[in-house]
Amino acid sequence: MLTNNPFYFSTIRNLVIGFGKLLNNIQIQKIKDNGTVEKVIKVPLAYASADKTITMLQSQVVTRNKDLPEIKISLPRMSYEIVGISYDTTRMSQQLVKNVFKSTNPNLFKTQFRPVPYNVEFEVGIFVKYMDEGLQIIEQILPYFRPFYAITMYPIENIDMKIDIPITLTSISKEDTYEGAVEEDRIIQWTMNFTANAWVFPPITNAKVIKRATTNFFDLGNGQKISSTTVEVDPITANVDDNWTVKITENLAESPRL
Amino acid sequence: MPTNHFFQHGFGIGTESEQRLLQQLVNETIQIAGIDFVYIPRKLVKLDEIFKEDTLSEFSKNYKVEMYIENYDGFTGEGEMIGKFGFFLNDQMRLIVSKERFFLIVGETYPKEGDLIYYPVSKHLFEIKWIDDKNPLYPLGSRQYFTLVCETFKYSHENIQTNTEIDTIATRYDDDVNKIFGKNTIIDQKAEPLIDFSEKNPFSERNL
Repeated sequence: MLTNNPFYFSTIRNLVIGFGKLLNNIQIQKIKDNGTVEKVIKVPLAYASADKTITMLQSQVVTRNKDLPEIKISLPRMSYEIVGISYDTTRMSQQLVKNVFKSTNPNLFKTQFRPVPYNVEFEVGIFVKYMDEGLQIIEQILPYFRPFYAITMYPIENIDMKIDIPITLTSISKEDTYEGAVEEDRIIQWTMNFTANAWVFPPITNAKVIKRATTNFFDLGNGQKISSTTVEVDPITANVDDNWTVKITENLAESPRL
Repeated sequence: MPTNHFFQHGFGIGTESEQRLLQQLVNETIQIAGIDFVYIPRKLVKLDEIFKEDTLSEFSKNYKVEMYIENYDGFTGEGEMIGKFGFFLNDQMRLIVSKERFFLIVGETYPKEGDLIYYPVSKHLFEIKWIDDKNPLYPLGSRQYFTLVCETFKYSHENIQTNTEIDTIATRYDDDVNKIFGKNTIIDQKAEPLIDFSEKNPFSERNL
């Protein structure tokens, strides 16, 4: 068994939201010949894959339930989705180091092994009717990726830990179906691929507060114990918020070395 | 051997009176079996000669023209589709319009590709993708009608001000970020506790 208890920190889901935040306020302009701006259009953005039933239900709200003209689609639009996740060996680190967090129980602490590096591949689609509008969108994204842009995220809810996630623009491609029969529709779509250097977190476990520590000293020559020192909380039943002191007790071995 | 002048007085087989009779039969047939459509011509406003496109096309006139639906048993095309850009409706239709009646109503010799056709019964807005003016090939030596190959209109915030119900397209789609496909506001709200944008989001803070 990999785990005893289910755990889910939504780190990848949160990354999806964080990545979407970067692209959710792109706007294009319709500019007249005299230079005045006729319209400013905020480009709709959504996660690409969706439940078909929900997509239909949300579309029907405007297509069938209202007495409005039906069209093919309104453009421009942008979508994005995860297309792959892979382990990043270049960011691999010491595996046995733990992060320690406070717990609501004063007698316990929360511990967690270090997060594991994974690269999350995103594909961003841009669907436009006109070349100029596609280029407006592209030009507002490209300058910020040299070739990466880092976002600072709180990967786990309610834990005050921030991490920087570099997002690298890896490729851009264009599909333009301008060739073919006259009655066939022309589709202009841009595709941008990004790689997010993300982290995936192992489960959080409870660890008791250490109240007593004993150090034994041995003679490595003959293997005999020389002495031991115990450091403990006094009283041993005290919680973190109670009054307590530290008591140190040193004991010599019963058969002292001659 | 030339064509027989007892039967042919011009191009092809028909005489002028026969051509006029056929035109009137076509007009009458369409008026009996057809439907009133709204023809909306496109006006080019800012033609980009580099990319050969006009992002500011204007649709401000409308003409009621009777047309016959060639595919009378249903729309052709792929119909309702779902893709990575959400729901889209790819209905197609072939319409037959009388050449004479079109000229009388619209004042143009030909309909044009890019003009719009509104089908009031189903409330579909179509774009003319192609005018088929060679099929059939000049019956009685002249052309009586055109076939319009239409597909549902892809709207990209062009100016539609026809003073008809078609104008509601703008109110329906101009704020799509929150209405139909876009989830921008929801993404914004969900990202608020997750992202530390103490430095301003370069993608959102800009002066237009």
